[in-house]
Formats: sequence, C-alpha cells, structure tokens
Amino acid sequence: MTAPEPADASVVARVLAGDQEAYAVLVRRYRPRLGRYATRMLGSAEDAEEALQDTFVRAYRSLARCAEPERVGAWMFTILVNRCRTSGARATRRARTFVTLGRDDAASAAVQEASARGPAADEQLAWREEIDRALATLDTAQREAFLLKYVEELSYEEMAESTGVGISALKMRVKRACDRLRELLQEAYSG
Amino acid sequence: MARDRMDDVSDGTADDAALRRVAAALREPSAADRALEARAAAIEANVMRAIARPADETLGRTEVARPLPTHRPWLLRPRTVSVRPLTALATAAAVLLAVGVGASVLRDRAPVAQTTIAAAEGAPSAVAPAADTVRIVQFVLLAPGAREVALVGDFNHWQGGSTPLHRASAAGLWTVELPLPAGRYTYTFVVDGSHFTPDPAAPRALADDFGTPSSVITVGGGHT
Repeated sequence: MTAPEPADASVVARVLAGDQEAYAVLVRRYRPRLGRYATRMLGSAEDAEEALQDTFVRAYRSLARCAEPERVGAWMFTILVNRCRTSGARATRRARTFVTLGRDDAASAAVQEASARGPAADEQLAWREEIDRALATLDTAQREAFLLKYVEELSYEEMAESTGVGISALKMRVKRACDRLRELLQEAYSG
Repeated sequence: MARDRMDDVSDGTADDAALRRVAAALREPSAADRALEARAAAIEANVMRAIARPADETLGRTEVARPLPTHRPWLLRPRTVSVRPLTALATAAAVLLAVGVGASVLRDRAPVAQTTIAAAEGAPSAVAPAADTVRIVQFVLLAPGAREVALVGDFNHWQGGSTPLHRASAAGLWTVELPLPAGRYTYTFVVDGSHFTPDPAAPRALADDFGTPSSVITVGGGHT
C-alpha cells in the first residue's frame, strides 16, 4: 500500500522550513494542469515550457506570500495566468498568426498517429488544428477568458481572483471570444 | 462530422453546446501537451536547479531586488558616515487593526518617517551621495492589537521570519530599520503570522501577481 500524497499545506510548510527538495512534489503535482493551460494560451510547447519553469521558480521565491497554502495550486495558477498574459502580448506584437502545435517532430508524430487510426482520427486532428488556429487569433485577454471559463471551468469569481479583472469585464471578454470563435470556425467550414 | 458541429453553431439555441464541444476538444491532450509531457523530467530538473541558485541569477526573469548584505560589508567600508538631521516622526499612520475580528481601517496618509544615514566619503550632507550608498530605512506600522508583526518584501525574499518588527510603544507602534541599497522595493507587513497589511502611508503596488496587498518604496535618488 503506497503512502498517501502529502497535502499541499504540509508540503508548503516543509519548503518554507528549508526543505528545498520537497518543492519537487508541488512541481510534479501541478505541472500537468498548468502545462495544459500554458500550451493552449501560448500555442507552443516551447513557450509553454518556458512559462511553466518561470512560474514554478517565481512561486518558490515567493512561497511565503501564499496566504492559503492549502490552495497553493490555485495560487500558482494565478502566477501562470499573469506570466502567460505577458508572453501572449509579446507574441501578438510579433504578429504570430499561426499556431505551432509543438515541436515539428511532435506535430508530425500526431499526424502519423491520427492517420494510423483512420479517417475519423484524421478529421479529429483537423478539427483540433482549426480550433487552435482560431484560438490563436483571439487577443490575449479574450483567449485567456475563454480558456479559463470553458477549458479550466473556473467560476467567474475564481477567474476574477486569478486575473485581477472584474467579473463584468470577464463576462464581456468571454462573450466576445465565443462570438469570434464561432465566426472563425464557421468560416473555416463554409469555405 | 465537422460540418455537423458548425451547423450546430449557426443555430442560436445550440450556441452553448457547440462551444462546449470546442472546449471539450481543447481539453483533450494535444501534440503540444505530449511534447511538454515528454519534457516533464527536464522541466522538474530545471526548476529544482534554478531554485537552488541565488534569486538574482535565476533565469534572468525573476525580478527580485539584490539580497540584503547580511555580513555587514557596508559597515566595514572605509567611509565617513554622515548623519542627516533626523526627520521627525510625523503623526504615525492611524491604522487600527482588530486582528481576527474584522478590520476597521482608518487610512491616514501621514508619511512614514525615514531615518537615513548617507555613507559618503567625508562629504557634507548637501552633496549627492555615492551611487552605491546604502540607506537605513525605518518601517513603521501602528497595530495595537497585534501580537507580532513582520516585514516581508523583495529585500528579504518575502521570508516572514527574517525581519520581525519590534513593539516600540505601549500604544502599539511597531518598527524596524533596514539598510537598503538604492532601488525600488515591494513589501508588506504580516500581522500575527497570517494577515497581510500594506503600508497605509506608502503607494500601493500595482498588478500584484500573487494576490498579496503590498506597497512600494523607492530608496535612493535625490531624497527618500
């Protein structure tokens, strides 16, 4: 019987007491969820990896500022959201309009894998690529709001806590993101 | 199948359902997710290596002020220390904290008094201090109901235990003095170990990524 995973608050206390190695528990625990948001927000595995590492290091350096250690994951997510917002703004200025699905070898592998699974998988992959492209054309604020609401399934209160933006503004961003995605995805299939 | 999805989108009543299918597709692992997953061990190793290094060397992106010199090198410098006339402690910030009961905050913008000692090479106080001058900055908080108050900020890596304030008066005035090089620092007070309280007499920090109410002080320049 394996030992139960230590609770977040307990791990945070150990790290603050000087057990630096204990921080790896939090990194392993939250990397998948944070990574998922980062890849969708930033559009590439490379950018997501950079944002993820920066977030974890920043969180470590400021762990004493986490007012609710039992919710350290949500606190780290807030740091990541802000980090991605900065990266997203830089990407917009670089006029990046095409989503890279990761390293070329990963994208190729995905295509090969889908082809091996048959036509339905091919279509699924194509659908996902269209969604990713449409998502990349949203401005940073709208993409962030859509992902937090529809993919991360946060409540508007939780979104406000993570972003520092008021609920009314968030609702407007979500609506505009939805309208734009609808329009873009309809164009993709009517052409 | 894709065309069916988009037909749903054109029907106003099915909008939410169509968008939820988009969201469901986004929740499925992508090629980028798999690429990131393949890098999991490397990411963890990079993070653990980075946190083992001093903060100002880490990744070049973490904005942390240079660590306080803990070994008193500034005291050992061969400089003449001239003391400026003390700035009188103006009316202390009348911040009443009823810790644990709910705060009743009266914001008083009376300035935090700052006592500075300029390290200069025999120069009178009218001469601009050397660029690497360290100043003694006094932080003050009025918290009569507090059992303990600590100062956390960029200058001590937000480590609560490293800079406790001491109770300077029966009325609940808590103070600490820190030698700080010139620069801009974000900080806050921690009352009774858990209550973050910004300095009522200092500008609030903007866009705090951590949700911590905090303040900003700029040390150095022509005056502090």
